[in-house]
Amino acid sequence: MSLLEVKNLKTYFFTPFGKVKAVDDISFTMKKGASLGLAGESGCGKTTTAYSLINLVPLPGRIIGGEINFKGEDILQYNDKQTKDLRWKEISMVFQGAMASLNPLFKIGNQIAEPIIYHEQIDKNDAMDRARELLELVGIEQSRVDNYPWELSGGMRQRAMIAMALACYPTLLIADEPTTALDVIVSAQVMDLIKDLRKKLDLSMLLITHDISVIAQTCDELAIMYAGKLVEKTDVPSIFDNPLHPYSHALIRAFPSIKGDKKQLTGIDGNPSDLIDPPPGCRFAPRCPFAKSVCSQEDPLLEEVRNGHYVACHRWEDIQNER
Amino acid sequence: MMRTYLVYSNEGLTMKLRYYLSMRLLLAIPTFLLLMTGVFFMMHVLPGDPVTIMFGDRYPTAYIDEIKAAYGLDRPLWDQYVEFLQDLTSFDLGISMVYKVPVIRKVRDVFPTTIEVAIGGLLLAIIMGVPLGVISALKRDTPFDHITRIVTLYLHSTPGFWLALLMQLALGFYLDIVPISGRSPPGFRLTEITGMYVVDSLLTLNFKALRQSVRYLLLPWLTIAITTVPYLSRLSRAAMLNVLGDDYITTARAKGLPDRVITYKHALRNALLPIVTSVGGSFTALLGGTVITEKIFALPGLGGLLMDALTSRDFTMIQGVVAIYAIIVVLMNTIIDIVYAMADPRVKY
Amino acid sequence: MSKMKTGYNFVELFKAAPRSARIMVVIGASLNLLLLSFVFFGPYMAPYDPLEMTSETLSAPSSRHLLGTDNLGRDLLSRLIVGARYSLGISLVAVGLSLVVGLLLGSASGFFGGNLDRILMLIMDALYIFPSFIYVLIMVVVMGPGIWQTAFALSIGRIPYNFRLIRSLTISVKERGFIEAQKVIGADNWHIIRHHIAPYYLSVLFVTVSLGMARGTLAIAGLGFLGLGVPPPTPEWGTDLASGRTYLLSGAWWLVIFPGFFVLIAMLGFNLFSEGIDTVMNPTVRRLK
Repeated sequence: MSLLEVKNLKTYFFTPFGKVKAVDDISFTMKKGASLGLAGESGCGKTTTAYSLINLVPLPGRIIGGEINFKGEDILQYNDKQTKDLRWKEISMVFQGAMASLNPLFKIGNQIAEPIIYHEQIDKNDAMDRARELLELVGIEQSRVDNYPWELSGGMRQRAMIAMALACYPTLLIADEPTTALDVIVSAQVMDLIKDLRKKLDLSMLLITHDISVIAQTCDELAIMYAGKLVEKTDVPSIFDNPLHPYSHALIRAFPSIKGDKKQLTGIDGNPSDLIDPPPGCRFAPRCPFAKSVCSQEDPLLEEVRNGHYVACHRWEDIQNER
Repeated sequence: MMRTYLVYSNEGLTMKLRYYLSMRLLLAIPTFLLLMTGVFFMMHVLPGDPVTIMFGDRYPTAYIDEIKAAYGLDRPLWDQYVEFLQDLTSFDLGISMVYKVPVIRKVRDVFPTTIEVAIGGLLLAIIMGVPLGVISALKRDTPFDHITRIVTLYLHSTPGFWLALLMQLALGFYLDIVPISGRSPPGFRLTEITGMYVVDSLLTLNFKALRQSVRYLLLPWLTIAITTVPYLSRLSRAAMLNVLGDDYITTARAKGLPDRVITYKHALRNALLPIVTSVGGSFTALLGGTVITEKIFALPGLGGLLMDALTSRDFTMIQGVVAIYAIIVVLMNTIIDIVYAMADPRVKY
Repeated sequence: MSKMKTGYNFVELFKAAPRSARIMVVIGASLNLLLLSFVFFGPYMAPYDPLEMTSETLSAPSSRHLLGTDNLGRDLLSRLIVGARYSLGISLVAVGLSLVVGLLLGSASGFFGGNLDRILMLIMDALYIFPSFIYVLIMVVVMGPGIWQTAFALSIGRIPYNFRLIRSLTISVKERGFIEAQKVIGADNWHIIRHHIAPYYLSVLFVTVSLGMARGTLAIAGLGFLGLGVPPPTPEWGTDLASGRTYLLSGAWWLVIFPGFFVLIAMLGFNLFSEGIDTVMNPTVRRLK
């Protein structure tokens, strides 16, 4: 049985300018122990998806349709108490921008131990002990447990956030752009740490980022979103070898690689699609070099075209043959 | 629940605090001096002096000049100023020109009343205003919030002295629930320690005096509070809303913490910082208002002393009273700053 | 921050604002206009001569004297209408003065920085933390009662606040890269000022003036109540309130209720207007959370 099964999730934002269809009917599954990377450009809906999983979509957004089955139960049907129990204990999150995501008035030890105290019947001292262990786990000296967030460097803060996210030994860890605010070296360290921890703790992980090279390093599977829709999902080697969707193809080509031949970096023409009033048919059609008339008429569905390889494109076969 | 107020060792904290305190007070001195200089020059530069006022129409000019010389008013302005500053450093506020007694003595008699009225009013305003603002923020855009906004806008526009008169009339005169004016009833007995009736009656466990003095202070306190609440509630609401939009609140929610923990431990605690600052700001305006409040309720405070001194152009007295007001204000701001520093671990000094 | 359009269009901003803000601006502006008309045309609008004493002393509101008469038989309504000239007019002058000085000093201080800034900040800080009412009081007494003296004293009381505001505004505008950016693309200074700097100042100015009027009117009424300010028999809301108080216990409630009520209406008008205009001119304050 899969750990997480998202079915037809729809999350819209009800703004004065109209209904922003940030997440418009996406479905995917994750097995226990899997690591799925969710990629896409800014505004494609990946962060909103992450927040939907813990039912924390900020106003004026609301989940208006679909199921999120976690360990067999639809967590969207949970009441308040169940949702609170689920959070952090089963599903926890590492946020982008650790400085703002940590309360500046409390020491990090306190903040790490906090969810432990409220979710498990453990007393303060034991919780602090675990906090210290967690800090060590992420490579921070235990004495730092009495530091305030602003007393730590950027990389240390992010690692503290990871320690905090692991506090209740969750089943699923969601990482929202964990390395975006960090420089390259620290970024690499953090990702290595995450990889390491995953193995050690047998964590399932959902990694949200716009940087697919990070996903390439750390995840087994990759799903790509565009304009609120899921356009392709498969394991990492497959997608890099043979991206089926034109957008995935273009995205991968837009990232430089150290290995292989020198190639020209190409951007993607056009502008991101309008999420309030999207064009009929495939959202990517206006920018797609392979678009034909059917593409602007019918919305392509996400289908499994090969073993474990899903794509949402009318013309994927033709495009394959053309190449 | 974890409290993280000040978990330094006792030693470390006190030393840090003492250092900060002394730094703050030190910085307060130039401000104080500046204010005093301002008052000095204001009075000496603008037309009118006590001697002329008192005797101007009765005695010939030559005589007036002699008296002025006796008071040292004919010396060059700069010399007078220097002497003024020198006196200040030895805490000598001079002799009242009208009463012929040291200014300090007259000030000491009335100063506790003003403090009692001002601080009491401020505390009442905080108790009423801050929770109001915080709850408005939590219940944003609900009828509660809208009604509160309208009511506070209305109260904010109400002149304090008018409100005081109306309350005096309605509650004091017609309904006779509270006394109309004054500080204490006839036959009031209390051992004075600080001069503040409420404080002293608590210290001496004289509950009858406590009840009596509070009754007399009720309307003045209410007047001050009602005029200050709109400002405090508005700021508290804004501070709270600001904090509620911060990312660490999202983190706290994602952690599945109980709502009250999120509201109090995470949100309110952070919102308290700008709220503390705004309390300091509201005190300044509040203090200015005590002058009128004291007059309406016939409370013998600094305001009355000031008014008398002004009418009679009693220079030294005016300077003295302003000095006291300045000290009160500076002290209050310093206390507020210290409270802030204690609450915000990021403040380093 | 603000998505300001070049070419500052007030009408569009107003239409885009939430209804509550629009209502506040309209009501506030109407009240203010009414009162300002009293300031300028008061003597023509008043039914009677405010100084004219009649034999109908201390009479309650009636069809002949809508708000009653005072102890000298003067019509209260007329007194209050004409009184606006002093209660509001003086405030207007004071606000204008303090605005000009605050603008000059604040922008100079913010723009040039350095020692000028430090000295000015020191002085303004000292004035700012001290209750302005008290030194206004002292100034008014020392200078003697009178219209211009009161206006002058009041403006001094207001300057520190304006100074701080303009200064921080100037600094934030200065620090924003877009000024440099505009220079780089060759925009001339006047264009920069008009389209990129002025909009920020404008919104702040409206609010400051409005709030300043509110506080100024209150201060003048307070001074009048204490017996300072304009000398009798000139009508002024605060003075009339004070003299009305004496007759309160003889049952002349109108002498206390109505003067205070006029102050209330004035303050309400200014407060409403400033709140509304603030929301209208700063659309990004709307939060979508």
